[in-house]
Formats: sequence, C-alpha cells, structure tokens
Amino acid sequence: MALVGVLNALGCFSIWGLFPIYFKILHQVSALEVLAHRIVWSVAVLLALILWQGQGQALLTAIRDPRRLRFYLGTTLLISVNWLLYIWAVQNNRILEASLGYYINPLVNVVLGVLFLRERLNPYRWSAVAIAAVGVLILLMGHGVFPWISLALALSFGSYGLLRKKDGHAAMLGLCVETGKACAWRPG
Amino acid sequence: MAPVALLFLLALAAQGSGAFGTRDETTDLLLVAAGLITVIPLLMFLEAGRRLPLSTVGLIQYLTPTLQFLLAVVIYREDFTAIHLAAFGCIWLALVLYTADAWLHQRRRGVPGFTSAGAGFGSVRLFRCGANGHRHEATHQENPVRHSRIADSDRHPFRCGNRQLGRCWTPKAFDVGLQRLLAIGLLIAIILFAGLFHSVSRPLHLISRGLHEQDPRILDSLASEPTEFGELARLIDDFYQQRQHLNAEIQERRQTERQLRLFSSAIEQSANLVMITDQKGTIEYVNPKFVQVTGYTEAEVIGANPRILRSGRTPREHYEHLWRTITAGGEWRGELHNRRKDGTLFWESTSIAPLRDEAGIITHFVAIKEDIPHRKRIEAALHASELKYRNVFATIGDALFLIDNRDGRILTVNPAACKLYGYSRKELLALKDIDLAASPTIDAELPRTESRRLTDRSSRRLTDRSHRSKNGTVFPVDIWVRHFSYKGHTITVAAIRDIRHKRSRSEKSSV
Repeated sequence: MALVGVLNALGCFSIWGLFPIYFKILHQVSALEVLAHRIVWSVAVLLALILWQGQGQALLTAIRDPRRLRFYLGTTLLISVNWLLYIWAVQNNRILEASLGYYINPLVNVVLGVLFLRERLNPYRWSAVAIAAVGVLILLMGHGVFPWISLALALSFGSYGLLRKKDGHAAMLGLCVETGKACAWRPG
Repeated sequence: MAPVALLFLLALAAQGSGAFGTRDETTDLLLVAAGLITVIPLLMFLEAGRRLPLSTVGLIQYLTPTLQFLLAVVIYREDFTAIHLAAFGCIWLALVLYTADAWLHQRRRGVPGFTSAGAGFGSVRLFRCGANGHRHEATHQENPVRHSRIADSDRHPFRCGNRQLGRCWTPKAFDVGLQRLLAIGLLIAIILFAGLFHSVSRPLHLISRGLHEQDPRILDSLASEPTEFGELARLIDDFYQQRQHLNAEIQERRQTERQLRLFSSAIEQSANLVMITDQKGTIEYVNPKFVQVTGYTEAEVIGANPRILRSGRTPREHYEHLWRTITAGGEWRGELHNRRKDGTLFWESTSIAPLRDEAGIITHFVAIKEDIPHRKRIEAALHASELKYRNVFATIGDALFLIDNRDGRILTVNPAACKLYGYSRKELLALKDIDLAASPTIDAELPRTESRRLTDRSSRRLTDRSHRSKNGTVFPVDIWVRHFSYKGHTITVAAIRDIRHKRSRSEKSSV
C-alpha cells in the first residue's frame, strides 16, 4: 500500500513540476484565459466525479452553509491567485522564480504558523527560515530585484494551506467547492 | 469561481478574442484537457496523503520545484547566474535543515500540527520515547511486551504496532540517523561546490586566460552559456571584434589621410591655378597660386562667381560653350583672356572637369589653369619674326633655296627662284639641286658638299657656276652658301644670283 502512496505522490508532484511545459505550449493564450479554462473544465470533471460517487447531497449541504461558503470564497481566491501567478511566471520565462517560490513554500508555512497559529519554533527551524531569508536577500542584493513572484506564490499557497488547516472537510468536496465556487454564488 | 471564469470565457468568445475555438485544434484540446490536468494530480495527491505519512509526502513534495528548476535551467535556458546559485544553495540548505528536523520530530513524537493537515490520515496516535526506558504510553497498548525489550542503545528504530506511526527512535538510532543526515548534507554540499566550480571558477579561469592571452577563441565555449560569465565572454568577444574593426578602420583612415594630405599639398603647391566651384559655379576653393596670379585674396573669391575674372576680351559664345560642355559632364579645354584684380590682363590655358559623387551626380567643377603670359609673348615674337623673314624671303631678288643636305631635295624656294628658272614652285619642290646645274657634274652638288666644310654661321661664295633653266637656257650664276641644323640634320641655304647681265656688261666694257 505504501508503494501505491509513493507512486501517487511521485505522480502528482511530477505532474505539478512539469506543468511549465503545458503552459509553455499555451504561451499564446493569456494567463487569465488559461486560468479560466482550468477552473471551468476542472469543475466539470469534479462535478461528474462527485455525482458518480453519489456525494451530491454533501456538496449541496456544504454550499448551503453561508459561513462555509464565505470561507471557501477566501480559499478559492487564494488558490486562483496562486495559479494565475504560476501560469504568468511560466509564460514570462520566470520558471526559476516559480521554482524558488515552491521551494520556500514550507518555510513560509512555518512563518505563517508562527504569525497566525502561534506555533513555537525550535532553533533548527529558526535557522532554516533565516538561511532561506539570506537566500532571498542574496537575490535582492545580487540582482537588485525582489523575488516577488516567488514570495507571492509561496504566500498565496501558504495562506491557502493555513485556511484549509482550519477546516476539516472532505478534501474532494472542498476542492470542488473551491474550484467551482459553485452554483450558489453569483456575481452581483 | 467557475461562474466568473465561465462568464469571462463567454465574454472573450463574444468579443472573438478568446483562444478557444479560434486557433488550431491542438490548442482547443489542450484547454479542455486543463480540467483533467488539474484534477488528476489533485486526486493523486489526496490518495498519496491517505496512504503515506506526512513526513514522506513532505520530502517528495520537493520534486515539484526541483523539476521546475531543471526545466527552467536545462530546457528553457532561463538566466541562471552565480547569484541564483547562491540563493538556491541557501534555500536548499534551509530545506535540508527544516525537513530533517520536521522528519525526525514527527518520527519521534508525532507532531499534531503536522499530521492534522490531511484529512485522509485517520486517527492520530501519539507515541513518546521516554528518556527513562518507559518508551510507550497509554495511546499504544497493543503490544507492550514487545516494546519493553527495546533498549536505548538499539541502533535501529523499532517498529511499533501501528503501521501509520511507522518507526520509533531510540537515542542511539537517532544518533545514527543524524550521522546519515550529515552525510547527505555533505553530499549536497559537494554537489553545490561542484556546481559552484562549474558555474563560477571555471568560467572565471577561462575569462582571465582569454584576456591574458588576448585570444577570444578561448572564450568561445563559454559564450554560449546563459550565465553572467557567458555574457561576459560575449562582451569580451564583442570587444575584441570591435577592436579589430577599429584597428582596421584606423589603418584605412591613416592611409586615406596620407593620400589626402598628398593630394592637398599637390594642389596647394601646384604651379597651376586650381579653382573648385560648386555645381552652380560658386567658388569654393582656390589654391595659393590662384591668389598669387589673380591678385584676389581667398576671402574675396570664395563664394563669388568666376565671372569676376572676365576681361571682356573672350567672346561670350566661348563661355557658353564652356558651360554647356561641363554641365553635360564633359571636359573643357581652352584658353581664356582674363583680368586680374588690378585690371591687367593675362592669358590662361584652362581645363575644367566635373566632379561626381557616388550616385554619379555632378557636385563640383575643378578648373586647372596655367598662367601663359610668357608663352603668349614668345608666340607673338615668333609670329613677328616669321612675318619679317617671310617678307624678306618673298621680296629679295636672288633665288633662295633650302636644300636637304642628305639627298639634295629642294625644301623651299622663293618667288625669285621660280622666276629665274622658269619652273613653278610646285615643280621646283619636286626637283633636286643637281637638276638645276647645267651639266650633271660633281660641280653641281657643290653647294651641299661645300657646306660640309662650313661651320655654322659662316657662309661662302661660289662664283661662276652654270645653271640651266626649265627651257634649257644655260646661264652663269654666283652662289652664296650657308647651312644650319634643323631637327638633327643639316639644311643648306643657297642664294643664287644670275650674273648674265653683269657678264654682258663686262664683255661690253671689254669690247
């Protein structure tokens, strides 16, 4: 069973890592449009899956709760920003910065945990965060450019993780509501 | 978000600016596939989270940025400089530290904050390794007997009954793990330093060598790399190329300059007058000789028209012909009678030619003039002298002959000669000296042969010779002979006087 888990982990992380190839092929389509397509088509796929697994009722329950819906709106916005940034970075030849963003993501999570969840850090983690900060500083000093893509990617994903941590909902449902922000919410 | 996204796409489609359906089928297919491409890895992630401890997932997650990194650097050739390397080195080091710590902590204690993140992990069980050998607590009671056999000194982490918690660490096992971790860290450090050498030390060495030996070929391999050093190598290469071009250009310019200086001094020091006008005839340049001959200063003539030199003695048609010739692109040669500033006149022999630019359009005219007062004076003197002697030649009573000394051909005769011998001038010019003698003896050639003994400027009289006229009459003559050199050979001048009257007079007187 562990092997299946490892294979799944390798699979999903490889696919995410190789996403730039896909976005590069679509480089003539604007980042926003790619994002819109991703959202629309994944909702279609997920709805089909949920209905197939007979969890339509649970979805409806989730949607009907206004507090939960507000919460999902927040997570949805965060993940959308994250995706948009990522697509934009790839299409503008800044994969390296995106890569840096995903590398520092766990460390940003740690910082967010300290700030919002009042988690306490041991010296090892403190030094890890400090060393990473030095890395960012090197980029800043060396190229005179703040790696805002990396940090924005890490922060949006980290905040998303932070919010998700507070909600123990079934993952697929959560994902569906996020990607879908489904039928109940309409602009205006 | 889906309705928003859907509305956005519909709006784009309505505008006709959307990518979907407006480009090729591959694009459409890829856009539709976005759904699956998004959902499949998410499902895989959830599945992995359900089956694996978070610590493992936490390790494997670095695959994503690592693949991105490789794509960026190896495939898409994004700029990866030593600065990037240093920054990434720091991040990697921090991650090793963080991950090792998180991994060990979770293994030892099970960190609630860490494990509760995934919904698929089921119930979380805590297991504590106490320092005093009671390393199991109430949460784990399935197999207390087995756990009691484990000592602090065991090198290997033991497996507790619950698969989800995995292995637990004794202090010894923890030390061993730490050592392994250090080894991994060392390996990473070595890789880092190898990378540093490859991307920093090696190119620096190449660059310094290339600069030292002034050989851009050393930098060729470096120039294709998308690093700072590659950029530096390209810049150095450019610099060398520019320097080469510059040197070549300097050489060329020096050559041109030398030539120009030569031409310039040739014109400046020329014995001829040189004048350059633009295509309308306005004077742009005159040389010192021009100033010297005409008496005008440079400032006075530059910007003026050559008309100022006209004396009025050269007919207007002459100038019109000149102008027509040179504006048609031809070269004009001729003599002009011009006026100096002080009003005196002078003759000049002039040649005027147009100058053309690369497109063949006439931009300037160059006039080269020769001051010819001396020549004109000589010509006039010659003319006067010639006139004088021609008249003398024509009016003198004696017959005058010019005879070529080589064969005795008669070259010139005067009217008196024609009258004396009864030949026409044309007939005489076809004869030789011996044809005029009464008898073809050696005596007849005497004037010529005599002249051989004569020096220049001296003459001799030959008396009592018999000559014959056209009608056969033989008559006595006296001959004065003189010779001169002309074009390398000798010409005899013979003046012949009829002495019949003199003789008849003396005969009469003797009778």
